[in-house]
Amino acid sequence: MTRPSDLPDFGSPPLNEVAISVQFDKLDQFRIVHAGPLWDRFRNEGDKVEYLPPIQPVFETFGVQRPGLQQIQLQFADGPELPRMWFVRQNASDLIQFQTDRFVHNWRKAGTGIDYPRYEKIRASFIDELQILETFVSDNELGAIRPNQCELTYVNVIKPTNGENVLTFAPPSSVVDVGDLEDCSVTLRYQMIGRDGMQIGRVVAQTMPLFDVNGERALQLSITGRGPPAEPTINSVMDFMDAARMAVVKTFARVTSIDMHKIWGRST
Amino acid sequence: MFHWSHGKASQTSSSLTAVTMPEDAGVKSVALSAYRCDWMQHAIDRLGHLCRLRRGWDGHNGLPANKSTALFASSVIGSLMLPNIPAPSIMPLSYGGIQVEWHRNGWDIEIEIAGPNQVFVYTRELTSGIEQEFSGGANLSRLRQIIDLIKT
Repeated sequence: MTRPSDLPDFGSPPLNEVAISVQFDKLDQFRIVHAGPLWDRFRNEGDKVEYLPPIQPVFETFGVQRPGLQQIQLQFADGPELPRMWFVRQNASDLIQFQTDRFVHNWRKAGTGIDYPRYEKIRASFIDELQILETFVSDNELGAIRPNQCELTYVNVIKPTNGENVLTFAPPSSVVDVGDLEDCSVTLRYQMIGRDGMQIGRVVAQTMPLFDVNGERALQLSITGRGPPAEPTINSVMDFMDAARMAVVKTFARVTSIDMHKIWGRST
Repeated sequence: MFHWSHGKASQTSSSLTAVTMPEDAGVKSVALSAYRCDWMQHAIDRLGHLCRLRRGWDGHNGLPANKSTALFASSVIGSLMLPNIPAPSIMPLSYGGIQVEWHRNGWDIEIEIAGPNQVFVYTRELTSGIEQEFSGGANLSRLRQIIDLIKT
């Protein structure tokens, strides 16, 4: 896959993490005894495994004037849920996540001097790993991977060094007779429109103030493209991911300032 | 350099000390707030119940509702509901699907949810007998127009 020529390009983007994720119909036949053999399929020398609570499923729906968030959490009180598994690569940057209805590949900036490997490489790893999962599911007669939702998230951590405005929008820095602004969190939701002009997904950009491990203030800007695949196939999943990548990068370029673009080495 | 941990169920792993904690960039589990309908909790309970039906609940080989289907159904219902939309009937289908029905204001409206992103809609206007059927996925705009017919 080659990089689209009209995509904004940054030589040194402030990316801290990328997550490429597919949600699928729950594999009801997957049991805890399958976890070890699945780990064996992915395992390399020095890798680690960890266990976490599962992520709750989410479904984007469109075409409805939403008066507010309308998603509902449905709990099933029919026994303990299987955990989410983290397969952490030895380099600590690459992470595979599996639970019975979701598969994720994360790239993380695991230290200074580590360059973002670019979407194309992360995409290729995700496809390879998803095919390993598909083969495992088939070999063990656990059903089939039927994708129902795709998600691509870029997490940026931004520390302006000379007081630059990071974003193209800003709240008042103070209110007369009240005081200065201490912090601000913003969520922006945009439609994600497909080639046929119909909405195919949603882009959510969120800003959050935070402190790094040295106690210095920074801004986290997370941008997610999410929606259903056109068909429940891996090819359709990847088509959505490619569209989401375009949407996420263009949203990033639109909501961040030209001053910061210069610092990040924007070339197109 | 930033560190990662896994204290919360988000698919990203960054764990920097947040000043505030808005929604995760990953998956949300969101409570309804301003527009919560009186019947929504009953609908959620009903969907959970359908997932726990015993196999053969219909006297044949009926399956409990598929969990992924129920989760998608909850998203559809949550997207459509408004305070002036009456409670629907929520029925199991023998293959694990879910049917959501309204019979009101001279209309029969039946939504078959066969799985995530698989929605089939049947409507009938009782006075004219005119029927229509259509299918859809995540885009609920046409369904929204239909549901408006039964507002109280």
